[in-house]
Amino acid sequence: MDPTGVAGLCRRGVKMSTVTLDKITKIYPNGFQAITELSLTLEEGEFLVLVGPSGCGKSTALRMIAGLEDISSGDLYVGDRWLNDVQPKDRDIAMVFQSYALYPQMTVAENIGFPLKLRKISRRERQEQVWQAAEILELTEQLEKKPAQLSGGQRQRVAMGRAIVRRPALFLMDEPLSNLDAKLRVQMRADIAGIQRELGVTTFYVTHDQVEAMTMGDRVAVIKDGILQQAAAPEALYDNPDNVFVAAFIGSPSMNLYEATLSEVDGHYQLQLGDQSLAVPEQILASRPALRDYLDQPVVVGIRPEDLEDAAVASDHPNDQRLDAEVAVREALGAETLVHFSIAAPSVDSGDPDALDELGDEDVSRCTARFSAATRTRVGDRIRVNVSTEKLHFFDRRTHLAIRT
Amino acid sequence: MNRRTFWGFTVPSVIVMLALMVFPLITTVWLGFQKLLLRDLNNPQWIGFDNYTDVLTDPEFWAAFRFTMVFVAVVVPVTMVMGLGVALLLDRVGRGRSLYMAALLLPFIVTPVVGSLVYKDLFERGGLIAWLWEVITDDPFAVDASNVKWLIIIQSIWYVMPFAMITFFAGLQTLPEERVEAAAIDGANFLRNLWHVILPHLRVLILFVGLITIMDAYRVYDQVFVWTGNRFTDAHTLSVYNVRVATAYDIGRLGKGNAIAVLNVIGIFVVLIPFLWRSYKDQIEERT
Repeated sequence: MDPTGVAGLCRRGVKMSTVTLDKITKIYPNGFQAITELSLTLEEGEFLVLVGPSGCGKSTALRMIAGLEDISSGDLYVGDRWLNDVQPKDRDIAMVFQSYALYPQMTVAENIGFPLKLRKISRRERQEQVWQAAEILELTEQLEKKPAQLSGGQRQRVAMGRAIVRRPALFLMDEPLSNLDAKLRVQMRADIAGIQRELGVTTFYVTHDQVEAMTMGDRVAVIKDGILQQAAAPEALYDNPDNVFVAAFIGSPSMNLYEATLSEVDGHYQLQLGDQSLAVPEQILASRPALRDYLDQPVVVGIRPEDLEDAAVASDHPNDQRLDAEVAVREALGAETLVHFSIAAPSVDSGDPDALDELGDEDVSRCTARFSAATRTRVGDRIRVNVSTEKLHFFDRRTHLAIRT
Repeated sequence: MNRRTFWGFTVPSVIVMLALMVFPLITTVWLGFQKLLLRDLNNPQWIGFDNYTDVLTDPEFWAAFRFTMVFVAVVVPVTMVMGLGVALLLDRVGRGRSLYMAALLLPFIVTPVVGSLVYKDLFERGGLIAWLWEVITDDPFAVDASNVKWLIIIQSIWYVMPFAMITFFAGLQTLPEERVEAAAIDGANFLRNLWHVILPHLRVLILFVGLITIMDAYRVYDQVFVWTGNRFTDAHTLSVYNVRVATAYDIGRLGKGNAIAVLNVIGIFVVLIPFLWRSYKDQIEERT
């Protein structure tokens, strides 16, 4: 990407605008409620990613902002303009579609310039702006080609070009990277985020891919079944998930979630995880006094894979904060090694329809650990696993809400 | 594949092609140079281009040629535009779409001769439209040489339109929704959307429907024959003229009839050349 080109586009003056969704609801004629009272505010120039599993209503939300779907109730504002009943073409938005939706009979230049042409901008000015957009996106060599002659990544960039050439108040992106192969996706991820930051255009980005959400967004909003679960900066979302669903959905591999019991034995706290127990340091309860109310009752405990380590690698870990395990699967990734084993504790359904169902015995759950590459474990080994107990997450078993106070 | 299987597979179809297409075509061309009468079939005489000069100096031929050209020039574009319009409307219908479609397809399903007879009866004495006309204008309605051409044309449009409609409708079902939405966001109104999104998408089908309807219109026979019979020869098309020459007056000038047939084949090709050229260029473009 060419930063000087971006500067050129910026100099032309980019409109900055906040976007407000106030209790937006979508009910389809057949009674299906796709979105329930979604409230979000995008600051000027913010990159907000709406992420959720398939069928959670995230695309519906985007399409309502675009004006492609009616808003059943609630209010939509860009700046202080109320947009509920405004036609898509008059909303001052640009959208990038999953399929790119290019016009096949037009050249790349005509595709990018099409929104300008419809706005009756003179041919000369159009050419200049198309050229600037093409420079940013490194498409200047392709301008005379038809979309059919381009690679997937180039088509994606043409779709981006058609959006940025408009200098809209708001970018809408509907899974723009999901038709690209994995390697290109990683590159385009950074490119799109870079362009957005340079242009400073408020962006609403929808994806089902939590890695995309975490890497691209200034802020990430997690949605499930049409209901907003949590909206926060990526790190905050990762470190302090509000509920079990967010905890399981954000992060790859997912957080391990089990039903466990917290109890007090001789003044020491311990977590009973199936037939094994873990010592819980005093400060965990000190920082979360509410946990005392859950003593001797089942709670949901979450352990991130990276908070588990092979005891043979880190031997200075307290012995009472270790679990026994038998390695079932080992995936060496080079920088780290993923080790799968089972834990004799009931698993917890996070409610993610895309997640794999637990197999077999419901009192035995899988567990994924992210060991450092120094581990020498092999499939079938009986090992000890260090648990960073200070990093444990606790959730209410009934409401699935985080216990943090 | 060895030589024997190759011939085994191709020979039957080659024989059928030779028997049903190549042989009749050659016979037609050959007979066009003969003086041959229906009542005297055993006595053909080679007369060179006499049949052709005879045809080309026959005012009835030129009348038929003129009306055929008018017929093609009116029926084809009107059919295509109406077919597209109805397809676009049908695409927006949610409820009862199949009912509308069945009703619209009806004229296309009925045998042309039967459809023409029904349609013609509406305008004959005692027919519904003739009666309505009389009630409204107080004048009796009569099919005559001046209006029969338009009645034929209107009926033909009504008859061919469903074909264009159903083809365009099928094409519209494959139009990617996201492209229409992208255009809506880019700022396209209905006409822009039609011009930049819908028509380019239907382009191949428009060529196809154009090709078929031109051929069909050029060869139109049934409607014209039912409406005119041996009256209103002014409203005869080339096909009707051709059959009339080859069968009429108990003489049946078969040689001249074959000469007309040859001219008709050449005529269709001339009319279709732009279309054939267009699809040829498309194929070349696709390959590069």
